[in-house]
Amino acid sequence: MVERFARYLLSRAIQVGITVFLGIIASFILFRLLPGDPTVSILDPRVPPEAREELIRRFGLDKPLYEQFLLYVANLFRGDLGYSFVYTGTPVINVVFGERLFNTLALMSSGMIASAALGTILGLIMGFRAGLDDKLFTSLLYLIASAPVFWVGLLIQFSLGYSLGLIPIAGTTSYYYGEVPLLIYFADYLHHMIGPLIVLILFFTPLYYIYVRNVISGIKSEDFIITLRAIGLSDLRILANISRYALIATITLLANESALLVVGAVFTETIFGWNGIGRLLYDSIFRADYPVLQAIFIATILVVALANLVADIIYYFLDPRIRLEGLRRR
Amino acid sequence: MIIGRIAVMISSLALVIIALAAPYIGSGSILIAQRTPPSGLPQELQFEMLSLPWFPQSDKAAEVVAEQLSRVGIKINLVRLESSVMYPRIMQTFDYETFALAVSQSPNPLGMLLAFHSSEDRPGGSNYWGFRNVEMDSMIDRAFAAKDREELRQYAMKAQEIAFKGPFIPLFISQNIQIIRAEWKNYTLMSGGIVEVYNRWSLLYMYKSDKPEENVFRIAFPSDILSTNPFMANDLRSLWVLNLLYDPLVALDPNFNVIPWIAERWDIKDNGKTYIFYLRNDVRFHDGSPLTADDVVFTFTAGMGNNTVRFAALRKFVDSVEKIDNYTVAFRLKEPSYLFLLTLATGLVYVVPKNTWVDKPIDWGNPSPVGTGPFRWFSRKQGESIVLERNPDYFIKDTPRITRIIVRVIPEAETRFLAIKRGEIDMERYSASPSLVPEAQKDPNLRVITTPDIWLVYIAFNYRRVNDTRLFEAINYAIDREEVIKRSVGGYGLPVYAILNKEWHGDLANTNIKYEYNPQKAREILQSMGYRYDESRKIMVYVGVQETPRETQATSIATYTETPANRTQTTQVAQPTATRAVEAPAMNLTGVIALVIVVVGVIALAIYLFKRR
Repeated sequence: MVERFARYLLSRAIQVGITVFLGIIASFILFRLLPGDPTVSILDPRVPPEAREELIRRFGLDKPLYEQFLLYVANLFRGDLGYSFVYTGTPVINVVFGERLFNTLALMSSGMIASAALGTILGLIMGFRAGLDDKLFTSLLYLIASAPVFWVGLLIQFSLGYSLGLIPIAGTTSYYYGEVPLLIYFADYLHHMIGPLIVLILFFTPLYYIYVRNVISGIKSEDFIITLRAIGLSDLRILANISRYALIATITLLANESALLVVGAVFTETIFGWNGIGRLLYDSIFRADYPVLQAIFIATILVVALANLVADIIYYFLDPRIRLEGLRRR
Repeated sequence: MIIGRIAVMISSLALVIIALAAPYIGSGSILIAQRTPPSGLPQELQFEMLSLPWFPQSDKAAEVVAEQLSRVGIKINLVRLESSVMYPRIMQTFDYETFALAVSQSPNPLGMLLAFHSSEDRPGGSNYWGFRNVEMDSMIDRAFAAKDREELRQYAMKAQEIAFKGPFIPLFISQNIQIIRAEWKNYTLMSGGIVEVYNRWSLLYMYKSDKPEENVFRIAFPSDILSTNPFMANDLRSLWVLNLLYDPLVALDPNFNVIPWIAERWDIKDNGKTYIFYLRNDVRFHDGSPLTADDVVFTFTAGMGNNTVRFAALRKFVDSVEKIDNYTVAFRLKEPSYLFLLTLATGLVYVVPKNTWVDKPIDWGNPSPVGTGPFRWFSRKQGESIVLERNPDYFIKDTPRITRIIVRVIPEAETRFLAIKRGEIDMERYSASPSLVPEAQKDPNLRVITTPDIWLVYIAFNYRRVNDTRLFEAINYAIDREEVIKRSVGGYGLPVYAILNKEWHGDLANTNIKYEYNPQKAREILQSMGYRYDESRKIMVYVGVQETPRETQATSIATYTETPANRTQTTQVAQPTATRAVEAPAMNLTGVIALVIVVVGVIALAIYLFKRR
């Protein structure tokens, strides 16, 4: 049993390792495939020629491509991702993996977990009921999911923030100086998170809801449900029994969406002035800050790969079919 | 056998070639239309205009200009590009026909003048449009060496006249619209805005309350600053912050006159070749050490010696900087120049403490800047906020009245406006959209302040490709700047015709230079150059300057008709127009014949080859 799990885990881990490595190569090549001479398009063209040469040398752009790649991989293992082109003199590590990453992780993880829980529970109930209320509710969620994020965000900002004054308009904190007790600072941080969080929940919940609902309404007509009913199990017990299906669906989706944990929500962060990776990503694309983009890219690869590994492990325990698969193959 | 086959093939090929060439041989009319214009003029007045979509002022202006030029038969194809693609094309490889952009203005005319000097026509130079004119070069050189403002004015006036018909076509200076919380008092109006970099006054004297702890000024930037290094910072956002942390030797009064600042007075010696600055002795850095001549000498020597961005302009003037005593510094110039002092005041060059920089490379980082300025560095969260606090030892007594400045990064314009309305911030650094003005004016908590903005919106042609001044003149007449201003910035703009303007350069601006909107005149100029309006394609095409109107009218190109004057012209040449009606079908006939010959030839060839098998 343990041996089989170990073998399963090892094979998955090797797959993840290969994926990550390919991703790192891709991240290097991708940014060099962009049209135009990087030494022309990366650097501000108003920089005088002498200063330009100095910068090119400093960024290592004068070396042959394979040498750049070897340097890149070697530095990567040392945890050195180079310097930002835009925030001159700031190491990429400090630009990406600091407060910004924390803000995005805090916002996205709470948003995703809340909407996954909400969407799964609602999808489970509505999929099982499959009545008129299900149809109405499903249409409503489709409507919300297809509204532009920007517009919904501004609407929430205007109504809750400006008109009612319940939430702050923008930012992550109201304390910029002076001594603030940690607890109050934290409460204020959460207060600032409400607006973007509402937007995220509004947009992610339908995703989980629709997926889970469809899975459940498909299972509902299966023979074993009729058997369960015939045995005389209450609806609640049956629900509890089939919730495992819903969980598998949710975990699949969560693993798929895990990239957003690091990439963040570009529009939501922009509207609410939430200082996260989503906004950094947008700014960096805008200003061709390739080292920063590379770092975000690599972080995304790592998170997606890890999330899928975790999902695989959960499947193993949740779904007997996966457990038996190895057995059958043997 | 083989010879026969080859012969047939060659003759068929010849037939095809003749058939294809027939329409061109048969009719002289096409040949006239194909007449090539003199170098520097295109066959058809059709240009690709590059524009930056994220700079709405110049992008919308480009749209309106394209529409106005199409009315006189100049076709503009607008191509929207991101800056990372567009800037190299206009500044490095010169691979463009025309573009629309905005250039930041400064009280110093040198930057604008140099952009027309042939020495700046190089990759990375400021003469993006590649203007070359010997007379212009000499005017700029003389302006550079002018000994006083009157002399400078004389050359600047002449330079503006020369550039008048050049490839650089200024459109307007936009108005800076600031929306500020109404409780703030005592700000100073200057071109550029109430708190812009050349305006050292507002943030010294502004206040909203007599209680110091309430005077916290919160301002929003749309994106974070890029550098805190006073040698290398090159974007106005970063310089805005540095301007509060550091002090220059000399500064500008609200009318852009040079006034003493760290230097309390100066003497000019050696016929203008030496400037002796006498420093104030009560200036202290934020770490408590006094500012002395050593710091000034170090700053300028290191700044100019390391080829840094901020000191690049001064290198043109200054030969060396020497300490005379602890509070006296001498600047020795290469040549006497009036512009030196103005460049010193407008160059955003700040005095840094020698002891913190002397062992450090001058290049990039400077995480917690130490200067002499009215505010001290307090804290920064990259991407989110910068906090500055009042410098209690500032050398101008009882200033600043603001105790803290909080710079917040809020990317979305709508959000910034809501935050101002709600009182979360006091103002934003960027000019507000004109569409927000009516709502802001209704709100008693807000005040709307307009000043001439820092941006001059212009279009420019690539002089390396198109260099006929008559064309630029025609385009100037064809542009209705009032309409451009109305439609691109909601009327918040001031029309500009010359390369210098009175909002920024005062008496140096040549106000005699002006174009009245006159599309008819534009058409006349274009026609005198040999262009005719092709009505079917709605574009001006070069037909050459003919001796007799007969030939011209025999083409498929008609004269543009609109005014009575033109109408008579058309009646005069009514007969050739009739000829054209006859000739046009004839041309079609040759086409048909050619087609028949081609088809017959191909069929003959096919049959022959088929039979051979």
